[in-house]
Amino acid sequence: MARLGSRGRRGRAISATGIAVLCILAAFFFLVFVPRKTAWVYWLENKTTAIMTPLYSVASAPFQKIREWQMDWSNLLDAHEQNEALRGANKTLNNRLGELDLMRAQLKKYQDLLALPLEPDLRMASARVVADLNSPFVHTLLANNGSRAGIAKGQAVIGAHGLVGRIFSSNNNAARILLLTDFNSHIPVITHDGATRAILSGRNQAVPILSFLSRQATLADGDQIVTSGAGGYLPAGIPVGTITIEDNQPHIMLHEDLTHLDYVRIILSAQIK
Amino acid sequence: MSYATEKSSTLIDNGVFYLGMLVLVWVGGIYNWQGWLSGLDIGLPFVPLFILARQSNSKLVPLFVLALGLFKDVLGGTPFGFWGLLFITFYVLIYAMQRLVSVEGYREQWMSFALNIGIIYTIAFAIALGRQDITASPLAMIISALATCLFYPLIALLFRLTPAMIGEE
Repeated sequence: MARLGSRGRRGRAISATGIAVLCILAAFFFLVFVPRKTAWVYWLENKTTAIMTPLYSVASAPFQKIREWQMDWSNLLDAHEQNEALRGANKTLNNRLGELDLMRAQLKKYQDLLALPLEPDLRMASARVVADLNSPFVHTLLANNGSRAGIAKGQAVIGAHGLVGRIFSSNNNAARILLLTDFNSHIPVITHDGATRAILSGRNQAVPILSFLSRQATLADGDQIVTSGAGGYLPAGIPVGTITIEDNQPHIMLHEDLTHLDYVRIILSAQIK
Repeated sequence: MSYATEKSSTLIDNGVFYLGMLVLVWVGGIYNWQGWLSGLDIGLPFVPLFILARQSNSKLVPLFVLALGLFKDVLGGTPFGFWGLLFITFYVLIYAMQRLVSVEGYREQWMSFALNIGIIYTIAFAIALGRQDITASPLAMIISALATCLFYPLIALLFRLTPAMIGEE
Protein backbone atom coordinates (compact mmCIF):
# COMPACT_ATOMS: atom_id res chain seq x y z
CA MET A 1 0.00 0.00 0.00
CA ALA A 2 3.15 2.16 0.05
CA ARG A 3 3.21 5.46 -1.81
CA LEU A 4 -0.02 5.15 -3.70
CA GLY A 5 -0.29 7.61 -6.56
CA SER A 6 2.79 9.65 -7.26
CA ARG A 7 1.83 12.47 -9.63
CA GLY A 8 2.05 16.19 -8.98
CA ARG A 9 0.09 17.61 -6.04
CA ARG A 10 -2.49 19.55 -8.08
CA GLY A 11 -3.35 16.78 -10.57
CA ARG A 12 -3.35 14.20 -7.82
CA ALA A 13 -5.81 16.16 -5.65
CA ILE A 14 -8.30 16.55 -8.50
CA SER A 15 -8.06 12.87 -9.40
CA ALA A 16 -8.46 11.77 -5.81
CA THR A 17 -11.56 13.97 -5.47
CA GLY A 18 -13.03 12.53 -8.65
CA ILE A 19 -12.42 9.00 -7.48
CA ALA A 20 -13.94 9.83 -4.09
CA VAL A 21 -17.08 11.16 -5.79
CA LEU A 22 -17.27 7.99 -7.92
CA CYS A 23 -16.92 5.95 -4.72
CA ILE A 24 -19.84 7.86 -3.16
CA LEU A 25 -21.94 7.09 -6.22
CA ALA A 26 -20.91 3.42 -6.08
CA ALA A 27 -21.81 3.16 -2.39
CA PHE A 28 -25.11 4.91 -3.04
CA PHE A 29 -25.81 2.46 -5.88
CA PHE A 30 -25.07 -0.53 -3.63
CA LEU A 31 -27.27 0.86 -0.88
CA VAL A 32 -30.23 1.69 -3.09
CA PHE A 33 -30.16 -0.96 -5.80
CA VAL A 34 -28.61 -4.04 -4.19
CA PRO A 35 -31.22 -5.78 -2.03
CA ARG A 36 -30.05 -7.17 1.28
CA LYS A 37 -30.89 -10.74 0.33
CA THR A 38 -29.01 -10.75 -2.98
CA ALA A 39 -27.22 -14.08 -3.42
CA TRP A 40 -23.72 -12.66 -3.84
CA VAL A 41 -24.07 -10.35 -0.82
CA TYR A 42 -25.28 -13.32 1.21
CA TRP A 43 -22.31 -15.35 -0.07
CA LEU A 44 -19.91 -12.53 0.78
CA GLU A 45 -21.33 -12.23 4.30
CA ASN A 46 -21.04 -15.96 4.82
CA LYS A 47 -17.44 -16.10 3.62
CA THR A 48 -16.48 -13.11 5.75
CA THR A 49 -18.02 -14.56 8.91
CA ALA A 50 -16.40 -17.94 8.15
CA ILE A 51 -13.00 -16.27 8.10
CA MET A 52 -13.64 -13.95 11.04
CA THR A 53 -15.29 -16.38 13.47
CA PRO A 54 -12.08 -18.21 14.51
CA LEU A 55 -10.43 -14.82 15.07
CA TYR A 56 -13.38 -13.65 17.17
CA SER A 57 -13.29 -16.93 19.11
CA VAL A 58 -9.69 -16.32 20.11
CA ALA A 59 -10.16 -12.60 20.79
CA SER A 60 -13.30 -12.95 22.89
CA ALA A 61 -11.90 -15.71 25.14
CA PRO A 62 -10.10 -13.42 27.63
CA PHE A 63 -13.10 -11.06 27.83
CA GLN A 64 -15.33 -14.05 28.52
CA LYS A 65 -13.01 -15.11 31.34
CA ILE A 66 -13.18 -11.60 32.82
CA ARG A 67 -16.97 -11.72 32.70
CA GLU A 68 -17.00 -15.12 34.40
CA TRP A 69 -14.84 -13.70 37.19
CA GLN A 70 -17.16 -10.71 37.51
CA MET A 71 -20.17 -13.01 37.78
CA ASP A 72 -18.42 -15.32 40.28
CA TRP A 73 -17.51 -12.32 42.41
CA SER A 74 -21.01 -10.84 42.36
CA ASN A 75 -22.48 -14.28 43.15
CA LEU A 76 -20.12 -14.58 46.08
CA LEU A 77 -21.13 -11.16 47.40
CA ASP A 78 -24.82 -11.99 47.63
CA ALA A 79 -24.52 -15.72 48.32
CA HIS A 80 -26.46 -15.41 51.57
CA GLU A 81 -29.48 -13.71 49.95
CA GLN A 82 -29.38 -16.16 47.06
CA ASN A 83 -29.30 -19.09 49.47
CA GLU A 84 -32.35 -17.80 51.31
CA ALA A 85 -34.22 -17.22 48.06
CA LEU A 86 -33.31 -20.71 46.81
CA ARG A 87 -34.53 -22.31 50.05
CA GLY A 88 -37.86 -20.52 49.61
CA ALA A 89 -38.11 -21.49 45.95
CA ASN A 90 -37.21 -25.09 46.75
CA LYS A 91 -39.98 -25.27 49.35
CA THR A 92 -42.55 -23.86 46.92
CA LEU A 93 -41.46 -26.18 44.11
CA ASN A 94 -41.62 -29.23 46.35
CA ASN A 95 -45.16 -28.28 47.27
CA ARG A 96 -46.08 -28.04 43.58
CA LEU A 97 -44.52 -31.34 42.50
CA GLY A 98 -47.57 -33.34 43.46
CA GLU A 99 -49.78 -30.86 41.65
CA LEU A 100 -47.62 -31.18 38.51
CA ASP A 101 -47.80 -35.00 38.53
CA LEU A 102 -51.56 -34.76 38.62
CA MET A 103 -51.61 -32.24 35.76
CA ARG A 104 -49.21 -34.35 33.66
CA ALA A 105 -51.52 -37.32 34.00
CA GLN A 106 -54.49 -35.14 33.02
CA LEU A 107 -52.63 -33.71 30.03
CA LYS A 108 -51.73 -37.20 28.82
CA LYS A 109 -55.37 -38.20 29.10
CA TYR A 110 -56.54 -35.15 27.10
CA GLN A 111 -53.87 -35.66 24.42
CA ASP A 112 -54.95 -39.27 24.03
CA LEU A 113 -58.54 -38.17 23.79
CA LEU A 114 -57.81 -35.53 21.16
CA ALA A 115 -55.17 -37.64 19.38
CA LEU A 116 -52.89 -34.58 19.24
CA PRO A 117 -49.67 -35.01 17.26
CA LEU A 118 -46.74 -34.69 19.64
CA GLU A 119 -43.75 -32.47 18.98
CA PRO A 120 -40.98 -34.56 17.48
CA ASP A 121 -37.93 -35.14 19.65
CA LEU A 122 -36.03 -31.95 19.17
CA ARG A 123 -32.36 -32.23 18.35
CA MET A 124 -30.12 -29.48 19.64
CA ALA A 125 -26.70 -28.08 18.83
CA SER A 126 -24.72 -25.84 21.15
CA ALA A 127 -22.63 -22.86 20.20
CA ARG A 128 -20.61 -20.16 21.91
CA VAL A 129 -21.35 -16.54 21.11
CA VAL A 130 -18.06 -15.17 19.83
CA ALA A 131 -19.02 -11.77 18.48
CA ASP A 132 -21.63 -9.20 19.29
CA LEU A 133 -22.40 -7.45 16.01
CA ASN A 134 -25.08 -5.29 17.58
CA SER A 135 -25.37 -1.71 16.49
CA PRO A 136 -28.19 0.83 16.47
CA PHE A 137 -29.09 -0.60 13.04
CA VAL A 138 -28.76 -4.35 13.39
CA HIS A 139 -29.08 -6.73 16.34
CA THR A 140 -27.17 -9.90 15.49
CA LEU A 141 -24.68 -12.22 17.15
CA LEU A 142 -22.09 -14.55 15.73
CA ALA A 143 -21.89 -18.11 17.07
CA ASN A 144 -19.02 -20.53 16.52
CA ASN A 145 -20.96 -23.50 15.18
CA GLY A 146 -22.52 -23.85 11.77
CA SER A 147 -23.87 -26.09 9.05
CA ARG A 148 -21.30 -28.77 9.99
CA ALA A 149 -23.47 -29.40 13.07
CA GLY A 150 -26.70 -29.20 11.06
CA ILE A 151 -27.40 -25.53 11.80
CA ALA A 152 -29.40 -23.87 9.02
CA LYS A 153 -31.26 -20.68 8.29
CA GLY A 154 -34.53 -20.22 10.17
CA GLN A 155 -33.81 -22.50 13.13
CA ALA A 156 -34.73 -21.32 16.62
CA VAL A 157 -31.99 -20.24 19.01
CA ILE A 158 -32.61 -20.54 22.74
CA GLY A 159 -30.70 -19.57 25.85
CA ALA A 160 -31.01 -20.81 29.40
CA HIS A 161 -34.32 -19.02 29.99
CA GLY A 162 -36.06 -18.78 26.65
CA LEU A 163 -36.00 -17.84 23.00
CA VAL A 164 -33.12 -15.69 21.79
CA GLY A 165 -33.83 -15.43 18.07
CA ARG A 166 -33.33 -17.48 14.95
CA ILE A 167 -30.52 -18.35 12.58
CA PHE A 168 -30.15 -15.74 9.86
CA SER A 169 -27.30 -17.37 7.94
CA SER A 170 -24.81 -20.16 8.47
CA ASN A 171 -21.65 -21.55 7.00
CA ASN A 172 -19.46 -24.50 7.97
CA ASN A 173 -18.15 -23.18 11.26
CA ALA A 174 -20.28 -20.14 12.10
CA ALA A 175 -23.84 -18.93 12.24
CA ARG A 176 -25.32 -15.46 12.46
CA ILE A 177 -28.20 -15.14 14.92
CA LEU A 178 -30.93 -12.58 14.30
CA LEU A 179 -32.01 -11.49 17.78
CA LEU A 180 -35.65 -11.04 18.79
CA THR A 181 -34.95 -7.33 19.21
CA ASP A 182 -33.83 -6.84 15.59
CA PHE A 183 -36.10 -4.79 13.38
CA ASN A 184 -36.38 -7.70 10.92
CA SER A 185 -37.39 -10.26 13.54
CA HIS A 186 -41.06 -11.30 13.48
CA ILE A 187 -41.99 -14.38 15.51
CA PRO A 188 -45.51 -15.84 15.86
CA VAL A 189 -46.37 -16.07 19.54
CA ILE A 190 -49.32 -16.94 21.74
CA THR A 191 -50.24 -16.15 25.31
CA HIS A 192 -49.66 -18.94 27.78
CA ASP A 193 -53.39 -19.63 28.15
CA GLY A 194 -53.72 -19.87 24.36
CA ALA A 195 -56.27 -17.07 24.17
CA THR A 196 -54.36 -14.50 22.12
CA ARG A 197 -52.13 -14.89 19.08
CA ALA A 198 -49.81 -12.17 17.83
CA ILE A 199 -46.49 -11.45 16.16
CA LEU A 200 -43.51 -10.50 18.30
CA SER A 201 -41.75 -7.72 16.40
CA GLY A 202 -38.32 -6.34 17.16
CA ARG A 203 -37.63 -2.63 16.74
CA ASN A 204 -33.89 -2.41 17.43
CA GLN A 205 -34.57 -1.56 21.05
CA ALA A 206 -34.23 -3.66 24.17
CA VAL A 207 -37.95 -4.38 24.39
CA PRO A 208 -39.87 -5.86 21.42
CA ILE A 209 -43.59 -5.30 20.95
CA LEU A 210 -46.60 -7.37 19.97
CA SER A 211 -48.13 -6.59 16.59
CA PHE A 212 -51.05 -7.98 14.57
CA LEU A 213 -53.17 -8.30 17.70
CA SER A 214 -56.87 -8.81 17.21
CA ARG A 215 -59.18 -6.05 18.50
CA GLN A 216 -60.78 -8.50 20.90
CA ALA A 217 -57.44 -9.41 22.47
CA THR A 218 -57.31 -8.89 26.20
CA LEU A 219 -53.82 -8.77 27.63
CA ALA A 220 -52.72 -8.07 31.16
CA ASP A 221 -49.46 -7.20 32.85
CA GLY A 222 -47.58 -10.35 33.70
CA ASP A 223 -49.11 -12.59 31.03
CA GLN A 224 -46.55 -15.06 29.72
CA ILE A 225 -46.02 -15.54 26.00
CA VAL A 226 -44.54 -18.52 24.19
CA THR A 227 -43.90 -19.38 20.54
CA SER A 228 -47.07 -20.49 18.79
CA GLY A 229 -45.39 -22.66 16.18
CA ALA A 230 -47.53 -21.05 13.49
CA GLY A 231 -45.98 -21.36 10.06
CA GLY A 232 -44.12 -24.48 11.09
CA TYR A 233 -40.69 -22.89 11.36
CA LEU A 234 -40.28 -22.73 15.11
CA PRO A 235 -41.39 -25.30 17.68
CA ALA A 236 -44.42 -24.33 19.74
CA GLY A 237 -44.17 -23.58 23.44
CA ILE A 238 -40.72 -22.02 23.74
CA PRO A 239 -40.91 -19.42 26.54
CA VAL A 240 -40.34 -15.91 25.19
CA GLY A 241 -41.21 -13.29 27.78
CA THR A 242 -43.69 -11.47 29.98
CA ILE A 243 -46.16 -8.81 28.87
CA THR A 244 -46.01 -5.32 30.31
CA ILE A 245 -48.53 -2.74 29.17
CA GLU A 246 -47.15 0.74 28.61
CA ASP A 247 -49.26 3.47 27.00
CA ASN A 248 -51.82 0.85 25.91
CA GLN A 249 -49.09 -0.90 23.94
CA PRO A 250 -48.06 -4.43 24.95
CA HIS A 251 -44.29 -4.66 25.40
CA ILE A 252 -42.45 -7.88 26.04
CA MET A 253 -39.86 -8.22 28.77
CA LEU A 254 -37.79 -11.08 27.37
CA HIS A 255 -36.85 -13.95 29.67
CA GLU A 256 -33.40 -14.03 28.14
CA ASP A 257 -30.93 -11.21 28.69
CA LEU A 258 -29.71 -10.73 25.12
CA THR A 259 -26.81 -8.54 26.19
CA HIS A 260 -25.12 -11.24 28.25
CA LEU A 261 -25.22 -14.37 26.14
CA ASP A 262 -22.26 -16.73 26.29
CA TYR A 263 -23.69 -20.03 25.10
CA VAL A 264 -26.82 -20.75 23.10
CA ARG A 265 -28.60 -23.84 21.83
CA ILE A 266 -30.02 -24.20 18.36
CA ILE A 267 -33.07 -26.37 17.72
CA LEU A 268 -32.03 -28.31 14.65
CA SER A 269 -35.38 -29.57 13.43
CA ALA A 270 -35.90 -27.36 10.39
CA GLN A 271 -39.64 -27.74 9.92
CA ILE A 272 -41.77 -28.64 12.89
CA LYS A 273 -45.14 -29.75 11.61
CA MET B 1 4.82 20.71 6.23
CA SER B 2 5.03 20.48 10.02
CA TYR B 3 6.84 17.72 11.90
CA ALA B 4 3.53 16.16 12.96
CA THR B 5 2.32 16.11 9.37
CA GLU B 6 5.57 14.55 8.21
CA LYS B 7 5.23 11.82 10.83
CA SER B 8 1.61 11.15 9.85
CA SER B 9 2.48 11.04 6.17
CA THR B 10 5.16 8.44 6.88
CA LEU B 11 2.57 6.44 8.73
CA ILE B 12 -0.08 6.77 6.07
CA ASP B 13 2.41 5.55 3.48
CA ASN B 14 2.85 2.48 5.64
CA GLY B 15 0.58 -0.57 5.50
CA VAL B 16 0.39 -0.68 9.32
CA PHE B 17 -1.97 2.29 9.26
CA TYR B 18 -4.40 0.54 6.90
CA LEU B 19 -4.10 -2.70 8.82
CA GLY B 20 -4.91 -0.76 11.99
CA MET B 21 -8.09 0.56 10.38
CA LEU B 22 -9.14 -2.96 9.42
CA VAL B 23 -8.51 -4.12 12.98
CA LEU B 24 -10.64 -1.26 14.34
CA VAL B 25 -13.56 -2.33 12.12
CA TRP B 26 -13.11 -5.93 13.21
CA VAL B 27 -12.68 -5.14 16.90
CA GLY B 28 -16.18 -3.63 17.07
CA GLY B 29 -17.59 -7.14 17.31
CA ILE B 30 -15.81 -7.98 20.57
CA TYR B 31 -18.04 -5.83 22.72
CA ASN B 32 -20.12 -8.65 24.12
CA TRP B 33 -18.02 -8.73 27.30
CA GLN B 34 -19.84 -5.61 28.47
CA GLY B 35 -23.57 -5.66 28.01
CA TRP B 36 -24.11 -1.92 28.24
CA LEU B 37 -22.15 -1.36 25.04
CA SER B 38 -24.42 -3.73 23.20
CA GLY B 39 -26.64 -1.88 20.76
CA LEU B 40 -24.19 0.96 20.26
CA ASP B 41 -21.91 1.41 17.29
CA ILE B 42 -18.84 3.35 18.32
CA GLY B 43 -17.23 4.50 15.11
CA LEU B 44 -13.60 3.94 16.08
CA PRO B 45 -12.45 3.64 12.42
CA PHE B 46 -13.56 7.24 11.86
CA VAL B 47 -10.52 8.46 13.83
CA PRO B 48 -7.82 7.06 11.49
CA LEU B 49 -10.13 7.94 8.61
CA PHE B 50 -10.01 11.55 9.82
CA ILE B 51 -6.21 11.47 9.92
CA LEU B 52 -6.11 9.81 6.50
CA ALA B 53 -8.44 12.35 4.90
CA ARG B 54 -6.39 15.23 6.30
CA GLN B 55 -3.01 13.90 5.18
CA SER B 56 -3.35 11.76 2.11
CA ASN B 57 -3.82 12.76 -1.51
CA SER B 58 -3.52 9.27 -2.91
CA LYS B 59 -6.00 8.23 -5.59
CA LEU B 60 -6.40 4.75 -4.16
CA VAL B 61 -7.34 5.90 -0.66
CA PRO B 62 -11.05 6.57 -1.49
CA LEU B 63 -11.26 3.06 -2.92
CA PHE B 64 -9.74 1.66 0.27
CA VAL B 65 -12.18 3.69 2.39
CA LEU B 66 -15.13 2.39 0.38
CA ALA B 67 -13.84 -1.19 0.66
CA LEU B 68 -13.43 -0.72 4.43
CA GLY B 69 -17.04 0.42 4.76
CA LEU B 70 -18.28 -2.49 2.66
CA PHE B 71 -16.23 -4.85 4.84
CA LYS B 72 -18.00 -3.42 7.91
CA ASP B 73 -21.33 -4.00 6.13
CA VAL B 74 -20.71 -7.67 5.37
CA LEU B 75 -19.27 -8.23 8.83
CA GLY B 76 -22.04 -6.49 10.74
CA GLY B 77 -24.98 -7.46 8.53
CA THR B 78 -26.05 -3.91 7.69
CA PRO B 79 -27.40 -3.27 4.16
CA PHE B 80 -24.59 -3.50 1.63
CA GLY B 81 -23.26 0.00 1.00
CA PHE B 82 -24.55 1.53 4.23
CA TRP B 83 -21.23 1.96 6.05
CA GLY B 84 -19.49 2.21 2.69
CA LEU B 85 -21.47 5.36 1.95
CA LEU B 86 -20.95 6.77 5.45
CA PHE B 87 -17.19 6.15 5.44
CA ILE B 88 -16.63 7.65 2.01
CA THR B 89 -18.89 10.62 2.78
CA PHE B 90 -16.94 11.30 5.99
CA TYR B 91 -13.69 11.04 4.04
CA VAL B 92 -14.91 13.50 1.40
CA LEU B 93 -16.23 15.92 4.05
CA ILE B 94 -12.89 16.06 5.84
CA TYR B 95 -10.95 16.12 2.57
CA ALA B 96 -12.99 19.06 1.29
CA MET B 97 -12.96 20.88 4.62
CA GLN B 98 -9.20 20.55 4.84
CA ARG B 99 -8.89 22.46 1.60
CA LEU B 100 -11.31 25.18 2.66
CA VAL B 101 -10.33 25.79 6.28
CA SER B 102 -6.94 25.27 7.83
CA VAL B 103 -7.51 23.39 11.10
CA GLU B 104 -4.19 23.06 12.90
CA GLY B 105 -4.64 23.00 16.71
CA TYR B 106 -5.45 19.78 18.52
CA ARG B 107 -8.67 21.13 20.04
CA GLU B 108 -9.81 22.50 16.69
CA GLN B 109 -9.13 19.15 15.06
CA TRP B 110 -11.11 17.40 17.74
CA MET B 111 -14.01 19.83 17.29
CA SER B 112 -13.87 19.40 13.53
CA PHE B 113 -13.95 15.62 14.05
CA ALA B 114 -16.92 15.91 16.41
CA LEU B 115 -18.81 18.14 14.01
CA ASN B 116 -18.34 15.73 11.12
CA ILE B 117 -19.21 12.73 13.26
CA GLY B 118 -22.44 14.53 14.14
CA ILE B 119 -23.17 15.01 10.44
CA ILE B 120 -22.37 11.38 9.60
CA TYR B 121 -24.53 9.92 12.37
CA THR B 122 -27.36 12.23 11.33
CA ILE B 123 -27.03 10.93 7.75
CA ALA B 124 -26.99 7.36 9.12
CA PHE B 125 -30.15 8.07 11.08
CA ALA B 126 -31.82 9.61 8.03
CA ILE B 127 -30.93 6.55 5.90
CA ALA B 128 -32.28 4.25 8.62
CA LEU B 129 -35.52 6.25 8.64
CA GLY B 130 -35.84 5.98 4.88
CA ARG B 131 -35.34 2.23 4.67
CA GLN B 132 -37.73 -0.53 5.54
CA ASP B 133 -35.12 -3.10 6.59
CA ILE B 134 -33.30 -1.13 9.27
CA THR B 135 -34.19 1.32 11.97
CA ALA B 136 -32.27 3.10 14.69
CA SER B 137 -33.06 4.53 18.07
CA PRO B 138 -32.14 8.23 18.25
CA LEU B 139 -30.75 7.77 21.76
CA ALA B 140 -28.43 4.94 20.66
CA MET B 141 -27.26 7.09 17.76
CA ILE B 142 -26.53 10.08 19.99
CA ILE B 143 -24.65 7.95 22.54
CA SER B 144 -22.70 6.23 19.74
CA ALA B 145 -21.72 9.58 18.24
CA LEU B 146 -20.70 11.01 21.62
CA ALA B 147 -18.70 7.89 22.48
CA THR B 148 -16.96 8.10 19.10
CA CYS B 149 -15.93 11.68 19.86
CA LEU B 150 -14.72 10.72 23.35
CA PHE B 151 -12.55 7.93 21.91
CA TYR B 152 -10.85 10.37 19.53
CA PRO B 153 -7.86 11.29 21.75
CA LEU B 154 -7.03 7.68 22.58
CA ILE B 155 -7.31 6.27 19.06
CA ALA B 156 -5.60 9.30 17.50
CA LEU B 157 -2.76 8.91 20.00
CA LEU B 158 -2.40 5.21 19.17
CA PHE B 159 -2.29 5.91 15.46
CA ARG B 160 0.17 8.75 15.89
CA LEU B 161 2.44 6.70 18.16
CA THR B 162 2.85 3.95 15.60
CA PRO B 163 5.29 5.77 13.24
CA ALA B 164 7.63 6.49 16.14
CA MET B 165 7.60 2.81 17.02
CA ILE B 166 8.23 1.85 13.41
CA GLY B 167 11.07 4.37 13.33
CA GLU B 168 12.70 2.77 16.35
CA GLU B 169 12.67 -0.60 14.69
